[in-house]
Parts: sequence; structure tokens; C-alpha cells
Amino acid sequence: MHIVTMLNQKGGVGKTSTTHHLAGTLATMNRRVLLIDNDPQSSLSQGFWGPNVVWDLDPADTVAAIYRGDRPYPDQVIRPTGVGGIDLVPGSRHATDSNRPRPFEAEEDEQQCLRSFLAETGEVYDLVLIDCPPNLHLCSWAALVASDHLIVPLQPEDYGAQGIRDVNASVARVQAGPNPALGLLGYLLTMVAPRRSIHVLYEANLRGLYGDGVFAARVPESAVYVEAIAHRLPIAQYKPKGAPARAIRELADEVLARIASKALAEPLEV
Amino acid sequence: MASKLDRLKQSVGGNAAESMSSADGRAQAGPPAKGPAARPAHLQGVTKSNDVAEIEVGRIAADPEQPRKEFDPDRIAEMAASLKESGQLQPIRVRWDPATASYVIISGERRWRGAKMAGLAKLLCVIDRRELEDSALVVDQLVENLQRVDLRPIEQATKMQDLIIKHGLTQVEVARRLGVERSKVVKALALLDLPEDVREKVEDGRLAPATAYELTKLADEEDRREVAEKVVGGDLNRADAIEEVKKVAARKPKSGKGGGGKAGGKAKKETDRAFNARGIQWRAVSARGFDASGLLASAREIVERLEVEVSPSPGGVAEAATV
Repeated sequence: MHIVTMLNQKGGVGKTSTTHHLAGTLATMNRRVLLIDNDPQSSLSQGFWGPNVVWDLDPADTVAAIYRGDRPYPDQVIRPTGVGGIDLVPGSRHATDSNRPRPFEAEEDEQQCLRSFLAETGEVYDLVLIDCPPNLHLCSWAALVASDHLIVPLQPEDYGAQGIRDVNASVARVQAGPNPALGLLGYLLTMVAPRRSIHVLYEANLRGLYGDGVFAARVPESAVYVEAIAHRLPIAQYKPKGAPARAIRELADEVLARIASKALAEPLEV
Repeated sequence: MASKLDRLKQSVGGNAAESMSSADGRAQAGPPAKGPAARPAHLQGVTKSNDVAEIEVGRIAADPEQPRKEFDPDRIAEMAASLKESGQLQPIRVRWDPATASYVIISGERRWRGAKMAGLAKLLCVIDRRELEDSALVVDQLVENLQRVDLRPIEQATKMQDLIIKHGLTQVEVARRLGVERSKVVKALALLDLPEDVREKVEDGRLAPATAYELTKLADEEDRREVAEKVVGGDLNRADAIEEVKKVAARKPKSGKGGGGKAGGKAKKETDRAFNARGIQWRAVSARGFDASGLLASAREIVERLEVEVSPSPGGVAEAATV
């Protein structure tokens, strides 16, 4: 079971959207996916069930239960999304209270709560994707503590690139402390308009600075992604043919490949 | 041909409306929500508890305060065999003791000993996390024992007395906590007045507790022993024992050996009775003799007098000196 966090302090860069579509594509590739909606805003959950259903969820059946120390049974908070192959730990606005700043000062139990929860789910899922809020408070921290891998979505624009520094600082802190095994899977360019000069410039800069640290796959700007969400479907289930779905498929392939090569690179445990 | 906008309105207009609206906008119809399934049936109404754990047997220790101090080795062996055969069917109850840095057994010592004998690595435990004073724990232990296993009479009485003397419970409170009649507590305590050798007879079953209780109506220790011997030696039942007690009681007090005749007929009145309550000896003496209700009336007067002393203000409530 590989646990991947989607994180960028900058909002609106496509964390939730990418998570949603990537999950759908992985499901069509016969991977069992668990999503964790780790953002009190709960957009990922609403992308499957709509705002009313999510608003009415009992916090005891959402990620909020994990944060408030209930230590719920996995079955209690994990639900099928309705899209085959994808299960979800729903988000909840009630998790806001737990999303405290200076997360490294929280009780160890709190910092480890997602990690402990996932340890209990057993080897049921191939991939766990954790969608985080646009900040570096406890929710994001707990995700980093729990994860093997990190993907940082960002737009090839100035505001988009500014989040990197803070994310790196948090990652370094987690690696130095509670989770030395955390690794950056890559920076992921999202909402890319490939012919827009400013995007070309920023992309070139990013690749120049980080080389392989940037995913070769990019998520293009496309209305189709947005329509898919309006239909409450990932792109692969909404419009499997076409460039937008293909782009996510390339991303999925690369994510799996990078994970596999990291696994090989790790020293075998005796 | 419908424009793209029209097609979208058709397919997701409801979703769009739902996403845009605030809570009051609920009335908007839309495609039925693909909501999540309810919790699986086996988890409805279920909350996980942090109070249950599997704990290594080596981290669990016996409670030095445990009332049941002797364990029949045969029964432990039975328990060990059963644990091996059927597994642990019942959790034990423990609490964390910071002083010894171990889990101390509140109830289930037999199972723990069986587990050790059987070589089990871990036991399923219910962890009691209440911040308890000693007496609540002792009461809990006693209650558990009384509910499941017969404590021997003197053991039982001793622990009841502990509750009263050490932990300040009244007889009424003890009875209530144990869910028994108050008379049971009274009679149990009375047994503690008996001389050592008579108590032994009760403890090892030669003398029934109810019968032994009758002996406490005799003030004189020698008298008590005498009747105890008669009861045990002659295998007297309780009714006969009562007769013996009355006979002996009717003899004049301080009469020498061989002195005093048998009492004629049934003597309803006692003349001399001793009590022990909370470590204070009381003796009721009356040449005229008294029956139980007369004795009670007299005692009540004393209680009232003492209440006034303890709390002189009118209507002051002093701790009832239950006898």
C-alpha cells in the first residue's frame, strides 16, 4: 500500500481536482484506491456526493473522527464513493477545529493519527491519495507524517511557484523528525496552457531547477475536467477518450513508475 | 440542435444549483445524490472503545489487595486447560498502576494464573481508567467476587469491616453497594466478634454462619466456645443451636463451672449482650432482661443523645451511628 499526499500551500492549483481525476484513472487501471479528504473544506467529497450530503455527514463518520482522537474503525469512516474501485474517507468542516497551526507542537498522538489509522486498514488498497488543505497546519502535517510520497501540484505562474519554499520547509521538518521515509515524488505542473508564453517560461525554469524532480506528465488547462466534476465523475469515467483523459493516464503511469522505482531504490529490509 | 450550454443545463443544472446555493437553497431539485452508504450494519450504534486491549501476561500483576487470597491449584490447572482448548472467552479487568508500572488485576486473577500456566502470551483486558480511591476499587472487587464466587464467611466479613472502618462506609451503604439485605451485612460483621477458634470453625465450614451468628448473642466468650463445641460436636442444626444459646444465656452471669440450672422453658428475654461496631465494644445489660425490640428502642435513645452531642444545633444532621 503506497500512501501519497497531494500538497501545496497555495490554493487553487488543482490539488483536489488532480486527486479526483487521478483516482478515477487508477481505478480503470484496476488499482484499488483509497482517498482521504483531508481538507475541512471537503471539496473532494463534494466532488462525489455534492455539498448537501457532505454537509449532513455525521462527523463521527468522517476524517474529523480521526482528528479528534476517536480512533474509529476503518469500516466506520471508509465509504465507497459510488465510482467503482474508489473508496473515500470523507472530509468534514468539523475537522477545522483540529487543523491547528504549529503542528509540530501537537501531541504525538495527533501528529500520528492518520498514520495510525492507515496502519489499521491493512493491505486492502494499492494506493492511498490524501488531499490536503491549502495550508501547512496539522491536517497537512499529519498527512506528511503518514505518507511515503508527496506530489506538489503547481501552476507555471508566479503565485503558483511561490508555495514551494514553505512546502519544502515542512517536508524537511517531517523528514528530520517523525517521518524520515517521506520522499518527494515530484512537482506536478497543472492547468498548463502549453502555448502561453508565460507558462512556457515558468515550466522551463522549474525543469531547469529541479530536473527529474518535475513530473514529465502535465495536467493541461481544460474545461472538460471541470465539466466532469459538475457531473460528479472523474475524467476517466466522464469522457475516457480525448486529450484531457489521456493526460491523466500519462500522469497515472508516471506516478506508478516513480513509486515502483523508489521501492526498488530502497534498501531491502532484512 | 441544443447548444452545449443547453446540454449542460440539462445534465448538471441541478448540481450547479446545489453547489451554488447556501443551506436554504435545499429546495432545488437535482439528480438524486449519490450519497454514501450508511455505516455497515455491524458498526451502527457502535463506538470504538479505548478501554480494551491485549496485554502481555508479563505486564500484568496480581493485586495485593485482592480479597481472594487462596487459589486451588486444581482449578488453576482446569483454567489453563480450558484456555488452551477454547481460548480466552472472557476478558479480565485491570488498571494501570504507575507506582509499579504495570497493569494490576481488578478481577480475573484465576484466569491470569491459568494463562501463565498455559503459557499464553497475552490476555484480552478491559482497562479501568477511572481515578478511583482505594475503597471504590475494593468495593468493586468485593462486589465482583460476591456476584460470582462465594467468599468464605470470615473473609467476606473482614472485607466488609474494612470498608466500614477504613473507608468510612456505613452498614447501609455497604449493603446497598453489594446489593444485599442490610441484615446480611449485620450478621456477617457480628461473626467477627467470635473468638478465633470459633471463627475458624465457621471458615472451614464446620459451623454454619447463620448458626454462628446466634452465638454472638452470648456475651461471654467462654459461653460462645462452649456452645460452638456443642454445635459442631453434636452436629446441631440452627434451631437446636438457638435453643442451646438460650439455655446458656439464661444461666446467671458469672456463674461458676457447673453452677446454674437449666433454664425452665423458653426464655424470651436476654440479659446480657455484647456488640462490636467500628472497633468500639458495646454491652447491653439488664437484670430484667430485654428482647430485641426493647434493645432497639434503648439503642435509639442513645443514638439521639449522641447525635445531639455531635451536632448541637437543632436539626443538625450528624453522621448516623448505625449499629
